[in-house]
Amino acid sequence: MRIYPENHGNGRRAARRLAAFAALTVLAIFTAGCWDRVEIQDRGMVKSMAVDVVEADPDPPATQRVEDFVQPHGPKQFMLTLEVVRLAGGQRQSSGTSESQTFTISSHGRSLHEMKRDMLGQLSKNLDFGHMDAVIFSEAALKQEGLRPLMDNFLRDPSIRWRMRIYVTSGTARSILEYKTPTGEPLGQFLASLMTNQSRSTHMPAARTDMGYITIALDNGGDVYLPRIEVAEKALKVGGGAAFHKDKFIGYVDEPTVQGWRLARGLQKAASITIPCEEHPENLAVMEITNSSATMEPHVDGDNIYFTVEYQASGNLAEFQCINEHGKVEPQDIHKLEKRFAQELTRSIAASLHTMQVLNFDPSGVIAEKLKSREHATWLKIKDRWPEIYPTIPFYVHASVTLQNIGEHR
Amino acid sequence: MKKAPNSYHRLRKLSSAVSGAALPFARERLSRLRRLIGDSKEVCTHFEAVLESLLLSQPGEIQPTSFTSSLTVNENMLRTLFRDCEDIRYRSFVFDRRDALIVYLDGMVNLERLDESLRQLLYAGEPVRPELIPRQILASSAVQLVAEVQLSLVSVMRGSALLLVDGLAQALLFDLADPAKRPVQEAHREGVLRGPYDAFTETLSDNIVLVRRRTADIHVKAKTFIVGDRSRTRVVMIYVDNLAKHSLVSEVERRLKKIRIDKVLTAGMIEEFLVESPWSPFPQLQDTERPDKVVAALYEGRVAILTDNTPWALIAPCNYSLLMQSLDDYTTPPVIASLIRLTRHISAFLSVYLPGMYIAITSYHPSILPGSLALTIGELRSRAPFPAFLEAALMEAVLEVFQEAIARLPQKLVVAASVVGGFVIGTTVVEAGIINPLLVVVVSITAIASYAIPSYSLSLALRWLRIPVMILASVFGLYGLVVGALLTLTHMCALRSFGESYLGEIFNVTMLQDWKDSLVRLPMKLLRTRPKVFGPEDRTRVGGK
Amino acid sequence: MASDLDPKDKLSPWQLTILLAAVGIGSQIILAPAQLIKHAGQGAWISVALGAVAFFAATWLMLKLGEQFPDQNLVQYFPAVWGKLLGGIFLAWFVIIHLLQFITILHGFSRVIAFNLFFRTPEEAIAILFLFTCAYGAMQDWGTIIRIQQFIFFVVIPPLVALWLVALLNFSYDRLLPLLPDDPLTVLTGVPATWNFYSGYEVVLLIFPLIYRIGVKKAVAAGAAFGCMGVLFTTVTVLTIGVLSAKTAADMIYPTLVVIKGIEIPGTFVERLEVYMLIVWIPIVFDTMIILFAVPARVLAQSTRYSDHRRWILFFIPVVSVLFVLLDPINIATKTGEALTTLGWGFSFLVAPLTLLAAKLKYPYRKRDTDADIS
Repeated sequence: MRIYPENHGNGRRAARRLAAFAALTVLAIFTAGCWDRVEIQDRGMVKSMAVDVVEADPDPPATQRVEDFVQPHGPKQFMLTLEVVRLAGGQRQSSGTSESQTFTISSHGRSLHEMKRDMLGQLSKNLDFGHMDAVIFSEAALKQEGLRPLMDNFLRDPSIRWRMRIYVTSGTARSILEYKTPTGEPLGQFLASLMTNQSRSTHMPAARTDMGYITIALDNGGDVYLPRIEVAEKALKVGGGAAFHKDKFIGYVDEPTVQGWRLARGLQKAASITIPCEEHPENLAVMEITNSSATMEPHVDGDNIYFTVEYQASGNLAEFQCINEHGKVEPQDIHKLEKRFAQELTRSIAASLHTMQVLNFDPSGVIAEKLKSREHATWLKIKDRWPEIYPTIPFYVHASVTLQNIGEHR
Repeated sequence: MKKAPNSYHRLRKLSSAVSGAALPFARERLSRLRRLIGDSKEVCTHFEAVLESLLLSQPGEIQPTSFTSSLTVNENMLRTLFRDCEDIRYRSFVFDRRDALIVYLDGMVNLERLDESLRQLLYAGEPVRPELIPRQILASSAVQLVAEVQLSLVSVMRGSALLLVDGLAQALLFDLADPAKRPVQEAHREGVLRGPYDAFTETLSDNIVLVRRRTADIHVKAKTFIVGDRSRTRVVMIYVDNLAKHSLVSEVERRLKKIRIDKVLTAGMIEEFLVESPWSPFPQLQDTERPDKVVAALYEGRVAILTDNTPWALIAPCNYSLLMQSLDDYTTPPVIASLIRLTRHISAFLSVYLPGMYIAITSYHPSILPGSLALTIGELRSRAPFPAFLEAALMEAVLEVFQEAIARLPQKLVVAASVVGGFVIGTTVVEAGIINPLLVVVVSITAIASYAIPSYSLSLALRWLRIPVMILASVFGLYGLVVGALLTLTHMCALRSFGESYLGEIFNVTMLQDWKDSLVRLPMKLLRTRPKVFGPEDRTRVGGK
Repeated sequence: MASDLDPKDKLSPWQLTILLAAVGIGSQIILAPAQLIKHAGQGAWISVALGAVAFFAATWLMLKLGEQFPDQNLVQYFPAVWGKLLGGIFLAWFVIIHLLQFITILHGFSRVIAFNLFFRTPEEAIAILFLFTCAYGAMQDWGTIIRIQQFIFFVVIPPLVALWLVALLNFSYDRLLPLLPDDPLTVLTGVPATWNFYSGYEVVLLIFPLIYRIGVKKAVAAGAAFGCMGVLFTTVTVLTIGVLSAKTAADMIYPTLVVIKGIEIPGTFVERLEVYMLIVWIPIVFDTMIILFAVPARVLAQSTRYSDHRRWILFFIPVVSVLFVLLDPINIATKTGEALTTLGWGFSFLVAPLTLLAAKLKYPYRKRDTDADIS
């Protein structure tokens, strides 16, 4: 039997080893210091960001002069505005003031990063972009510069969220940041939560339009579209989209186009479809789609390329203004309604696809990717001529609808 | 030495008249006297040493002094050995026409039984020859004839009465020990909801009985060892001889025999001699005050150690997984028991890492929090003057002080202390904005989580671990936290209790059979085999050897 | 006779499975895919799957080699087969592979942690803390190391797999098509680069005598490990390509981390899953690193007849630190990585098979001690 190590003799050696080890670890820890320790209350949490173009103003207002800084390289083109959280401690409840939870600061320059750093001169806190939920680009900024260069800084910074929302506005982006949300929450959070409503509204191009998806689309040479946001006085609204050819801004697409595209892509589980009443076209019948599926398939027939879009939807009747003439909804009407809703869906999808083709706009390069992945041989042949071929490709759309319920009341 | 004659009135040196008064001579005499005194002192200490060795040496180590056949000599010897022990009582009487002497320690002996025994001896009609008393008188269960002085002295100190009879070179020992003791009471630390309530007491014999009462198995063995050079405390090792691994039994025995200590007041003092790594914060022997736990352990092939004057037993080997089990796990339905065990593991995790997580997240990685939560925490912290680490360390220190104070306080003051601690510190400090309310919640959860651990010594270890983890978190954030966890894991894997890994069977694929009763507990029907991890001689619980 | 209270140094075949899988599944989950996808494009996952087969073959050969000398490890039989000089060179080769890999991983590891979790904390500070932690782990005996591996395997792999399964939310099958890239040859040439994914299996040459000779065959156990690794790595690569597309993944420095970063589970408390991924990743790297540290220390300790391997580990700490700094410039680090892959391939597919051949020629009548004999 092996003699077991003794407590006493071994203990002392173990103690020495332990002490040496502890000393080394402690040394390592203390030589390490705490470079990155920034307490949560010392962080100026940025909730959203806006990028505008600076208007050449020979005599800028005093505030702007203070915000400004001397920039060693390049012309000053952009104005960066940040929405920063204001930590009120326990005072908010006690004083009862409806003071906003956030405030904004701005700077002017060429590099987003440089402006971010310059803004530290306006703030007692350390800027922290880990909670940034939304970025708003003004149309002017995007026109001046592509989307990719403006996004570049976000892609390099590991603290930026990959699912951050990016919006485009036709006015000044800063004015959106200054919008006071009705719920009192910070705007970034407000916009992020707002986007979760996309599953019930087809008008927001919200699915697959966050920073991650845009990056992938741009890397693969695809086009991009982004949700459009507008603000006026006390109203703020997200709807419709801004279209980009690669990363160059080409214009806006309206809500029906967005809706048609989302339906065709199968990104939308719920949507509302309207048709005019047969007797009184000014009155409408509305269907709420609760469940749907869409498949878009490329086909190659000799030299011809065409796509089929098969769309199936089921849902409920949401509104029926045609009651006056006919009385209530009768069972025999339902089949007719289903047919007409299907026609409307077909029309909506086909029209949207047509608009896309006219613009030579293939969001996220989805259509090209379909062809590339399903008909690879053909893709290799036509790859270089794709921009010319795309507008000529026929899309055959077929939709079918099942009305499951007519609602609680007949 | 003659006196100087008076005729000399002139002042002269004494030595000129008395040759013996010369200074060198006197000095020499003085030094001789001193030497003599020194020598006698030395002899005296030698005597004491001899006496001591007589008193303390183990039987067999040196030749024990035997009794002589003269009672006077024996009595003198005893009186010398017991000198200054004023609680030793001597009673002389005549027995069978011979002088007899009874010696006992006051208070340790049941006097009624002593009188009864003596009455039987003296009035038994025909006198019994002293040598035959152990064989002929049955009234006193434990009577033995001893010749060794050594053994008799220790027995007297343990509560035996010693009977010496003139002409007999042996002594009779009556075991009449009945010291003051506490009755068997409920467990103080290890409460259970459904299960027996009796717990170990300070009396070794009662404790052994508590174990024995639960099993009528002749294979349950109890071996006694004497530990402590001066206190000579009895330590009993209990094991099931056809279950416990032989190497384990012999190793425990070896380590018990090797203990070198002067006194043993509680089992805690020998515990550190028995474990492999006394430097580790983790308890490497299980301690329990519940006899049922001991019996359960014995039938898993483990060894229990009972120490005199200690109301709890030590069980070896021990591991983390065992310390997280409670008797209640076996009295509640298995699904619930498994969930409760899981809760305990989560508590253990929280009690070590929660403050560290708080520091790491608030000072380094607030971005992993959802936006609104980060905002709320930021607002709570916005008035706090200290960095998170200092704040947490301060609060932990206060908590430790508080716990220590309550543990030391008399029962009646605990309520007052709770009020002061709970209201004054809890509320005022938060209101004053020195500590933020979230931290109070964090520290409280940590404390409560550490109370949920069945073993107090393990929860102490976890409380200790919290500090290095907090330091690591304050320097390296979450990375430091994970490194801390890895270091702890490595330490726990490396730590061994009697050769067994301290992590026990947890996530060990060679011990797959043991998983049935570790992180979860399967129904009793399925627990047919004993844990493999302790290497019992007989694996099956029923129908084995 | 060894007492059964001694530290347990033996391992069962299933523990071998876990050991090999734990060593294999390591830093490369984050560090390697970018390079591979850049090279093999959409077909990278096929390279990874083929790699599992290739390196299982290498492991199988090493197990065969071990069977020739059932009670010895490579330190004992390499010199016997090749002579002192050549055997010594091969042993040094073996040691260098492990140490270099340790340093390369330490580099990648500290860079990832410093970049993603910190801002200004220097890589060196992160590396040195990790170095000490690994050294502490590597100093333990085999039994302890196996226990650590098992614990980490069972505690960390399930959340890792769960994280990757959540990534399915963003998965698009179309991005994986066509299955073969335009240039199928790149898939094959990508296989050598997957050595990084699977390496660490060389440890079997050292621990062979410690494995039980009863129960499941060692080759089956090793096969299970490679099956497990192959499935995991292939899934990770497939998901990375399916979520990010091969092009974006090739442009990313740490594509797998971005895949996890992209997961958003609405309505839950959990955000920024990449931080959780990093937290899970640290133990995974740790269990690879302790083996990479423990193996050379033991080889050197045994070949210098210096029984205590722990002193070698203490000696390695400054050596590794110095090399860590010397190999820091990015171009040197890349070169080192390439050299390392070559060395690794050379050892697995040249030295080990040749040794097996030489041993068979030298000791043709040696009674081979296979699993089947005993069981």
